Amino acid sequence: MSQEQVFDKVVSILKPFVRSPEGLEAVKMETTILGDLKVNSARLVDVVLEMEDAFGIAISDEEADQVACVGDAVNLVLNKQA
Amino acid sequence: MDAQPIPGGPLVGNDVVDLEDEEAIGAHLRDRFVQRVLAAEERERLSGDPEPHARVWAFFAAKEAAYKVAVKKRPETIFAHRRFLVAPDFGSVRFEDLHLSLQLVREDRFVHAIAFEGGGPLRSRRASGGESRIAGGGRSGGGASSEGEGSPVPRWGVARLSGDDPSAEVRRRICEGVGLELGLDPDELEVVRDPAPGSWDGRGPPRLLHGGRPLSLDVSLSHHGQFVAWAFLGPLGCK
Repeated sequence: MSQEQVFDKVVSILKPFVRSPEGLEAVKMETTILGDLKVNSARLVDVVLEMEDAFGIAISDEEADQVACVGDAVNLVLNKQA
Repeated sequence: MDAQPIPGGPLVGNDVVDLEDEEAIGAHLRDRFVQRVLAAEERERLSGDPEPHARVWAFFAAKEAAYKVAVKKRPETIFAHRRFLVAPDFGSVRFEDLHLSLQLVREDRFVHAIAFEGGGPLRSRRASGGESRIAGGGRSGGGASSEGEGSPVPRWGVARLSGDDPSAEVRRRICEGVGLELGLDPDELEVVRDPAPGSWDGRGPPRLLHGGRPLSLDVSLSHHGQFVAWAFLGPLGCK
């Protein structure tokens, strides 16, 4: 998958958990998941699980902890697909 | 009061979960979520629990509260939920070599966990003595006397969200709580969070300033659904 495709898919995964619609409208690689999108920290676990399912990958606790912004999630997927 | 931050002062973390929030409902039924958050020994304790929904979120809140302490001590701390182990009596949380006391407040509508350094293991308890009033506003409470003589005990509060900005409200609430505790004008108190690139939301843990100067206590803020919660801990004015 291309970076753009992964980006779009990551955003679609995040969308149900986002509590800041305006943050989603302007989403970019630097957009922070907790801060800008106001995803509840309790849902981060669900986000990780959704990403595992959507991309067919396994995400360790260490890897999950590094995902602060959308770009981190995208790069994580791209690295695992490389 | 002319207070300066005391390096190495006791740290506190708190987390509140609105059990009726749509995002929280049904968590105990999501096997992969439970397996990701709870260690095997904790999952065993969940089995047969008459309130598995509340129990899962009690575990989660305890771990989140403990993580907030751990990351203050060691910013590189990874939030791997299963590695934060909650004691069977919910009186403490252990993470690697870090042992924290835990106070868990369970009401019908929410769970609130306060993890803190010092104080020794405490039983989890229901709110008592005016603590944790949620109808029409919050009130600070505190943990019971600990086994450690003179050990600081956290003050905390939970309140129902009254507006549409939980972040602003919890900041206001903790300023009121600290002001009441220390005899300070809440308007002279300010919660700040320094930029912390790479952190989950780009900011570091909250600090409380009085007249622009750091207070000698540690603070923790939380909000979820219809509730805001706060806790503070320090040697000055905290019984």
